Amino acid sequence: MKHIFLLTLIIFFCQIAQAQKPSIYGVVTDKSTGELLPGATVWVNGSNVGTSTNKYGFYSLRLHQGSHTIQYSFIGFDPQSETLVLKKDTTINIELTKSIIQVGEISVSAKKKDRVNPVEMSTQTLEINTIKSIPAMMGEADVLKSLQFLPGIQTTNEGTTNLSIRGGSFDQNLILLDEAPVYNASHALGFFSTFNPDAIQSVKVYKAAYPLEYGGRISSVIDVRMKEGNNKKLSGSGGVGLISSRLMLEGPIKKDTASFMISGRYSYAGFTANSLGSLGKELNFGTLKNFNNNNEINFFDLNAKFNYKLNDRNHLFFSTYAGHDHFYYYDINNKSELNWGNLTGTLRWNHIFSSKLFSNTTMVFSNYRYAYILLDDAMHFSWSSNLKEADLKVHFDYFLNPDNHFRFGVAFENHFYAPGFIEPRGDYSIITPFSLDDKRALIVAAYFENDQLITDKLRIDYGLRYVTFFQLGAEKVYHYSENFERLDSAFYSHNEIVQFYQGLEPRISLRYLINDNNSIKASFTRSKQYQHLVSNSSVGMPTDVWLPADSYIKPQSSNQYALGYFSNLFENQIEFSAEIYYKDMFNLIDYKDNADLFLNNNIETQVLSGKGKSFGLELFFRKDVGRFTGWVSYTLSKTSRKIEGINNNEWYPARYDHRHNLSLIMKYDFNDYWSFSSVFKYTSGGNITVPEGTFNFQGVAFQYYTARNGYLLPAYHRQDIAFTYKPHRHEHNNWKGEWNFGVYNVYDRKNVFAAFVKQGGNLTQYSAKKMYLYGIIPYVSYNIKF
Amino acid sequence: MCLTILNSDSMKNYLHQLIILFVLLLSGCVTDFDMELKDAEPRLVVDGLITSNPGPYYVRLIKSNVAIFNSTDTGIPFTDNAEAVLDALIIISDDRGQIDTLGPLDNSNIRYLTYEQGYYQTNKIQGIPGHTYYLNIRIKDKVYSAECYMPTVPLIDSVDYIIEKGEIGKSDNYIPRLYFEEPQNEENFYLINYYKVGYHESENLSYLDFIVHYDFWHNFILSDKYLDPNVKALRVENGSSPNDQGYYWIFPGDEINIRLMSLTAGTYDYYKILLEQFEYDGGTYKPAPASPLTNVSNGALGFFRASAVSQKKIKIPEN
Repeated sequence: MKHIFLLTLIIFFCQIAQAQKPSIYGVVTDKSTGELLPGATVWVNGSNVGTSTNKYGFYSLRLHQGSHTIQYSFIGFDPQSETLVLKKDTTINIELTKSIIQVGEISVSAKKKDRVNPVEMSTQTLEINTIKSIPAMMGEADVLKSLQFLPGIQTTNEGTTNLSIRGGSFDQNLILLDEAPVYNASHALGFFSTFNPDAIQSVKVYKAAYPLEYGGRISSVIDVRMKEGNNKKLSGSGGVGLISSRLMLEGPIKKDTASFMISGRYSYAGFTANSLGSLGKELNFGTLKNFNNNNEINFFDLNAKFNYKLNDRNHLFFSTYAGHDHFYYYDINNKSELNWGNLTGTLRWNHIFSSKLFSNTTMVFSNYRYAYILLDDAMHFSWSSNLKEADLKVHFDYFLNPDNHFRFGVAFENHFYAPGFIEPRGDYSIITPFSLDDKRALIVAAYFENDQLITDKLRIDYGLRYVTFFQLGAEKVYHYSENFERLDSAFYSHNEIVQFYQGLEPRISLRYLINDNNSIKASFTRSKQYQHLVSNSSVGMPTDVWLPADSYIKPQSSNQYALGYFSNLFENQIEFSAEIYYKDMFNLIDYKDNADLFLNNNIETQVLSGKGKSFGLELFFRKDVGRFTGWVSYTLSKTSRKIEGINNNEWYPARYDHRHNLSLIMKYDFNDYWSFSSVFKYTSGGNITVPEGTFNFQGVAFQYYTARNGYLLPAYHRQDIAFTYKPHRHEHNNWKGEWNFGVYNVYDRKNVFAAFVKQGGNLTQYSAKKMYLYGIIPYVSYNIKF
Repeated sequence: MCLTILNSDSMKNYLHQLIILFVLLLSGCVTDFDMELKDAEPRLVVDGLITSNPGPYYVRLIKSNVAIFNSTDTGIPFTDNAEAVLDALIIISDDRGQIDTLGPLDNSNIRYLTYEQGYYQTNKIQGIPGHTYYLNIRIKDKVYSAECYMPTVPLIDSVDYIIEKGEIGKSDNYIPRLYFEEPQNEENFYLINYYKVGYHESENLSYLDFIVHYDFWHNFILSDKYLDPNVKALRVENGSSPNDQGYYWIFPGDEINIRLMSLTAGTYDYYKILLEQFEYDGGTYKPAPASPLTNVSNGALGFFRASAVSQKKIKIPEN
């Protein structure tokens, strides 16, 4: 690999020395809204020369002097051509028009816009319209749950939003909302995700070979983009449902120059639960006789984005997100209530230096805070905690020539952790105020990457990321004996370096084009993670603690090898991909048996580290055109861990190790008014820890355990269907309504959400129980656009 | 949280039907689950306790139950169907040189109830705070051992109680409260419980040390991590239960003995894990379960505890 790297570097520098050629460059936008279009293709007609816009909608193409016809295309938009005689660097900004496709008409998607040609592999993109068309629980379209229908992406616990990507844990996913990291992307303990579909444009998941500008997590990057705001006319959308209601407004502040988008969602899930539960109790339904209607589940999301185009060369963006959750649910835990929320802010500046050099400078802020209130009489207290991240990132795109697209940049990340402050509450509390030690870390990273065409067939994308990590004082570090008995301690003063780590993260991917419709791709990804979520449950609680790497807990890392075959079938109507991957993971952490993580100032004594591996096969068929659209996704995978001190030092499966995973998503348009959609999902069961037996002790039977995650749960499967009706609209009326009628879990499968053994009626009796979340659920929701 | 649609056979009421069709409910849908467990060998369970109160002290030896879904309840107080280990040699000794070989229970009414339940009792050893106690068990050719330090315990200054209105249809709760000086500059752990005077014959039988009322395990553990030096009006919680809907089992006219007992850090952790087992949800929101860490060697289960006891009685007046 070293040789390939050196060789490409040499080729790269030789090309720099080539004679100057003029470039055409500019941005591609959506004509109806003025929003930038990332990933649009730009091709020279009748040649193999072309490029695509970067994620900020910018492109640059170096060509010979002379006459050229350039074609611009993007899926869902009418292609557009420009003919020009090129003499010097020229700006061409293109506005593409959304295609109006009559139902039944088959539009063959623009040639070259596919997954065969780019070097990129192991990625999945979902546009928000696709996400909204999938039947969803109670009609609540959910970004993170939709991703679970894609290959290699599973949930860590059924019915929840946490993702395990290619066998990783959910804290190994870098979830970015307009480039700001979101530390807890779940609402109502994982039943919903924090992304309000009205405010989101698209989501892209990188399962391997993620661009080198991203780092810090070893499983994936989930890049969620907010809508930019329509700079042509005022418009909006909204909806009313049983769980939540939403409203979004967007429009120009100054036409073609500045725009805004503002969106809100409020959920009254607890109110709905209480009203319906009380009603059931009144009517004397069996299971609800003991219903407690003091549940409190509320959350809200506010998204806002402003963008201002200063001139052709400078564009400013500001986006922000605020969300908050309040959770108290009697049947889950009647002894505590939880509050949590994220606040993020992103300020971006796109600058075009020249025809070839583009920059994006980002300032990012993210604050995640959570509070836990124990509602016990004597121990009544609140535990509040937060973590903050403030970053500065400068990224450059250098379009050296049509054969080399060079990217480089630097990132500074400041992390601040305040794991906990305890305050007594209530009259009977015996608690004295108590604070866990704050922690700080600084990460400085630099990277470069080049996407290079070697021959007509072979294209390579390679790069290197170098990361330095500083854990900073003030910090008291304890030294321990082998049995974790405290020996002595060392004190580091403010800003003193407590621990230093550094690492190189090389990534390379290559594509070999067999012909226009078939390609083979391969990649190697090394990544490192310098902060950990110390979580000891499968769904994860808001109170799980994020911690930086330190003297005891080393950075996690992974090496992933992937190989894929990509193909377009039936005249580009169906895209197919098959990928296999193998991933080694190092310094994974898991908690000890009986770990005491709650309010522990020395978490290092409660966790153990070891290694993990995961491998799998992913198959994906997708049809995006015509009346009948949808996809089939199948994943065969295995993921396991080996950690000294857990499971007798033997390999054990991850809880979310699901062998088979199948999703069938389909949509059929009957006519302009009615459409039908359906989801079928099958997943092998997860693994849980069950007792070997019980022992009577002081009048009560207690459990004892041997193997971790040693019991395989039954498979999960369900079928959802939905009909969508768009009433005929009068021309003078701007409102576009849409009714959704759906049934979730059509055949009423009682899938296991949790399984456990519990003492029964008397304390020496045991029984095994399962908890299921949803039976068959019909729903109706109404959404508007204006 | 659990969403389900209601099902009903009733076709009488249209409104009823409408609700059944469209109403969504959030409630805990917990049902039985057919879980097949692997066969395993039963293990020795040790339940031993030595206190600073006068002896005798008791040790119980039984086998664990691998067919966990069978109830071991007999319906008779202080007994269960656990398989007793009757042929063991048990010796308790301490760091002062006392050695005591345990024998079968003496002739008391408890002996009648606990006949062949696996209990052994001491003859002469006396527990003293600040000393370490050793337990040695020989069963045929297998040897098990445990040791436990008996930490000192502060004196209870006083106890009182408060009355809280019970829920409608239920009696009022009498909640005992404790006052004591918590020694600073050392890590202390406590186990607190209470029992009705006259209700139990022996205060040292560990089985009875935890008074099981219906489905309640009456005990309360406490770490001094967050405690004030001057502990005032500490409510003695009524215990733990998988159902956790009980109330305080105290009525007017009762005399209550409230006990503050010392625990080592290891003992505290053991009881903490036992208590957490009442709350397990299988790892969805709580940690994956694990065995509590015993201080008995050689793969045995259970615990050998040494606790100093400080106690005070209080009488609830007749109405």
